Amino acid sequence: MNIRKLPLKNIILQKKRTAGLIIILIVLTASMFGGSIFIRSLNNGLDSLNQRLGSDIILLPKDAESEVDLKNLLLQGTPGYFYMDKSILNELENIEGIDKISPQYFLVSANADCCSVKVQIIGFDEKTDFTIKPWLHESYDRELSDNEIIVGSSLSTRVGHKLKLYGVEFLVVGKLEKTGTGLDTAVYTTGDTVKNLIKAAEDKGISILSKQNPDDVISSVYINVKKGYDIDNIVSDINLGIDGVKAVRSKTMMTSTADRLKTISFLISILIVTIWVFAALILIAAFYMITGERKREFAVLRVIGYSKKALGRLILTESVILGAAGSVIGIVITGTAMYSFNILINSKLDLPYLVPNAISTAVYVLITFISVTFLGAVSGMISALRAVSVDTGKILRE
Amino acid sequence: MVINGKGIAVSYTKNAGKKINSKSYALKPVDIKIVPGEVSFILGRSGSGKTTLLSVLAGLLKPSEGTVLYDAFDIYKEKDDDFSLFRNKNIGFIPQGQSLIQTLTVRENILLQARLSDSGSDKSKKADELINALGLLDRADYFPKELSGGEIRRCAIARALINDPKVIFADEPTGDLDDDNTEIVFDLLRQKAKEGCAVVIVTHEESAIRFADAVYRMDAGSLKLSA
Repeated sequence: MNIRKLPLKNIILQKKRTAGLIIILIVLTASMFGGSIFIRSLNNGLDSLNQRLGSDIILLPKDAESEVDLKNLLLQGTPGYFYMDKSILNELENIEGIDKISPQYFLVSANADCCSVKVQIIGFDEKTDFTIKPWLHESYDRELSDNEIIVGSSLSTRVGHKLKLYGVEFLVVGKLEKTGTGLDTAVYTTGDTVKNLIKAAEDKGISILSKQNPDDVISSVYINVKKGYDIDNIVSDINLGIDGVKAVRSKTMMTSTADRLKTISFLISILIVTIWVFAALILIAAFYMITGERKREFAVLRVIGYSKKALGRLILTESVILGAAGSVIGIVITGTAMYSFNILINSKLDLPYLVPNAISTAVYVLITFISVTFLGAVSGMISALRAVSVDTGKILRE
Repeated sequence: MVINGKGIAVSYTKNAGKKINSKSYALKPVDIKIVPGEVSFILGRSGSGKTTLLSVLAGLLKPSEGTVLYDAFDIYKEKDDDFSLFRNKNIGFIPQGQSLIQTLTVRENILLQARLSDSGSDKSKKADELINALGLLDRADYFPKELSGGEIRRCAIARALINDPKVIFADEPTGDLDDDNTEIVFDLLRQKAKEGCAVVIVTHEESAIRFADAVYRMDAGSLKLSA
């Protein structure tokens, strides 16, 4: 019998007591780890979306639905398309303060053999694009040729596979990293390819454009403003100077989402703190009560020669082991649940949601582990002080 | 090792009212000398202060007054670490009632006191001898919850003897035992005294006096040497 194994034996063989304490520790861990990962995922998603938008101003057709359609596409991945006249690009050249402009072309595939749902097709202009190519190059660093596409992370196809859209076969040349936004379900290609697809669809009798020629339309324009110019002023200039369009500041478009996210994050933070305070109090009280129940056991240990220090060490060791075990179990359960149901959480939220990468997750794991184990140790220390403060003789007389 | 209790007393303040606080004694000031090779019995009714005196002598309850010397060693003036180690090596204490660690088997409970100050000597053989002597051979790997009251008590006795202590304090050591086992335990404690150990037994069994070299009687916190 090794004396050092006594704390472990006490933990393993006192099953009910251990189970009760571990449950409290799991609740503590789940609230801290799960809550932190959730808040971080929401913030990651918004950051990722802002990065992907990559422009100061977005120009859309001036109908009420185009902005909603674009938001739905970005946040929920709901496919949509809208068009406006290409001549707008020329008019934009007359607005002072504009640095870069690049049009995009949207289309929705009726069906694709990769997916059970409709797929958003986003076409960009290879020559002028400055919003898509920077992050497209993460997965494909050459120019896209005709009939080549890059797919979002959520589409179930792989690089090298072929995909049919409106009967036209495309080669998948790249797959993007997950963004946690609706863009994960989109297909990216050149503007010319989208125009060809529109023609292919119309050849099949699917009417996409009423009267216009696909070569004369665009869906949206992404605009960057020259340094020193006020973005809001340019938004006003465009809205007042060009008919049939609506310029929206990219940040403004996501303001309501950011506000919602801030509120959710705040509420979750309050919830985490509340759960922590209550669970911590319950844990300390539980350790304290257990010490009361175990006072005779501790008195016996003193009788056989345990010093106050040794007894305190025994109690502290038990509580640290329990804290560590509870936090590890809690982290595994919470992590498994959160990463397994990641897609479900994402789809139910209607908010950008991107789980942290391995390094960030490891940091959260470490912080949670240290915090919960530390709390276990503090609870143990309070109990240890109680245990050593009573005269052994008095306990033996009871 | 001679134990000298000089003027030891345990008192507490009784709250009799808002202003009047009276001092009450659980153990009135007593002098007691325990010598090696002798079995000393402390007899008395429940609540007379026997266990309090035993705890004070064993260094488990600090007296309100007086000193307890083990030879020249004043146990209540020592640092807790030092006296705990001293107690582990030199004192065998058999508490009243259930006193086993629930998560350890009989053998592990017995060996616990030995392993605490393990100086490299293997006490497994000694543990086996005690297990055998106290009739616990078929219970050696049982946990306390699987034992009868008598078996628990015998295990506590074996644990107290594992380190070959110089002093043994036993508080009602035969309380849960039948006549045969009572005989075995008193014989064993008598034998330890013959080997040079100082043995102090608290009991209310008058019939056990035949094992005693000295008999003290406690009554309402006062101690008297009666034989």
